Amino acid sequence: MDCQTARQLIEMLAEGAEDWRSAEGESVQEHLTECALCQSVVADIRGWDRRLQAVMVAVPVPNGLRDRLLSQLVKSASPPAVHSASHFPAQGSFRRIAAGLSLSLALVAGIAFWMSQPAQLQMASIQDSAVEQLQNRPPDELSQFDGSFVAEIVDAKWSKVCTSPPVGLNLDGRSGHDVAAFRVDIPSLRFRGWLVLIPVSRISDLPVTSVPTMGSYARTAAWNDGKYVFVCLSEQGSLQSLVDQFQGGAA
Amino acid sequence: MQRPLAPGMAELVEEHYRAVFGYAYRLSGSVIESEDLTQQTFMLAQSHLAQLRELRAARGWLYTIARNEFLRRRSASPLVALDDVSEPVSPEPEVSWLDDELNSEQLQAALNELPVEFRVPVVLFYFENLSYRDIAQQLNLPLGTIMSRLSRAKSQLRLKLEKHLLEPHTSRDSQPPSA
Repeated sequence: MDCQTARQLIEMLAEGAEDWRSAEGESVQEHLTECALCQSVVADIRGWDRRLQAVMVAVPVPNGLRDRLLSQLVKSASPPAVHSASHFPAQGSFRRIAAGLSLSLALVAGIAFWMSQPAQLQMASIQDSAVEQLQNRPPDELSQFDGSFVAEIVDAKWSKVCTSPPVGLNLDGRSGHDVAAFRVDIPSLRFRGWLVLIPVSRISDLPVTSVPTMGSYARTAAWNDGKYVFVCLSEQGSLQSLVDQFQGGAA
Repeated sequence: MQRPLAPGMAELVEEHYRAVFGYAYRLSGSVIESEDLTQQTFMLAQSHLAQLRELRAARGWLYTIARNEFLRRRSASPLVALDDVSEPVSPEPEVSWLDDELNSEQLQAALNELPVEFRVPVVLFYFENLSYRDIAQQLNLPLGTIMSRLSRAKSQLRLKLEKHLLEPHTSRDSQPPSA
């Protein structure tokens, strides 16, 4: 084996890797026993690699990261399925049937009332559901926002990039749309995504920031202006660049 | 209603979050994005925990999730050939050089200058300590492509870092990033 071939192979054989035990590895080792120059090359490469590797893995970790991760994981764990505890066995007695029917009607009425009331939403579940619905559904399956609240963008920067009428999403499984989502398209930043609006009254854990802040979930930035909570979702391009561009201006 | 974490999840976080964050930081070069990637990695791990058969393979599995997520986010960005990467016109990122010793920020500044398709194999090589063959397999690329990319990226990295190490220490007083 010549020096040039040996050096090409030396570089690709990681230190201690099984590759050294291959036929190529053995040929290189054989060459090394005879070539002092290649031995010094190997020593140089290994020295540099070790030095770089030691620095590469030494990354300081932000304070509180572990707690934030665990808290987010707990939030994202899906709620347990609700199983009805009530069970009415079939009985011949008319009185029992009537009682059962009354109870069922009351239950249905209760459920109907509950369904008509908007539920409080958590930021994590909004981001989860919105990402899933907006990014996984074909555009023709997204329905136009039903106007369950006034969804308007007053900030000029954002209204300029949200040109089409919003689509609506149901997140709580009850009647009506809970959020309005505007398509965001900014060719100059190669950015494409969504701006989601939710009235602050619907959120149980409001983001405290009033400027777009990259945050607690993948590919999203959230903020609130006192009236709405805004969540910007990225489908393409850097959300960080967009946030940097718009920093300081709430929608 | 909140539910407790899946069995073993807290231990998985405890044992690996530092490594996953470090890995994400070397790939992305941004503390914010790394935290986001780390969070997303553990979220995905939680929802696919059944796929993890052996605990000793957990770290590699988490790295793969983090890398895939990073590459998925970058997939919309056009690829740049290393030859097309010009020298930055803006001043070099402020880093604190420590005499002739390499430091973390110095290395990251040099990594950030590599295009993603060159940076990723470098991180797999140095951070995960994978062989060229393993890297080719992980990235689903021919071995020749990996050899070529790693050879050029490693040379570029060394040139850059050695150049800095030999330069006068102009930014010794600057603060390291808030990692």
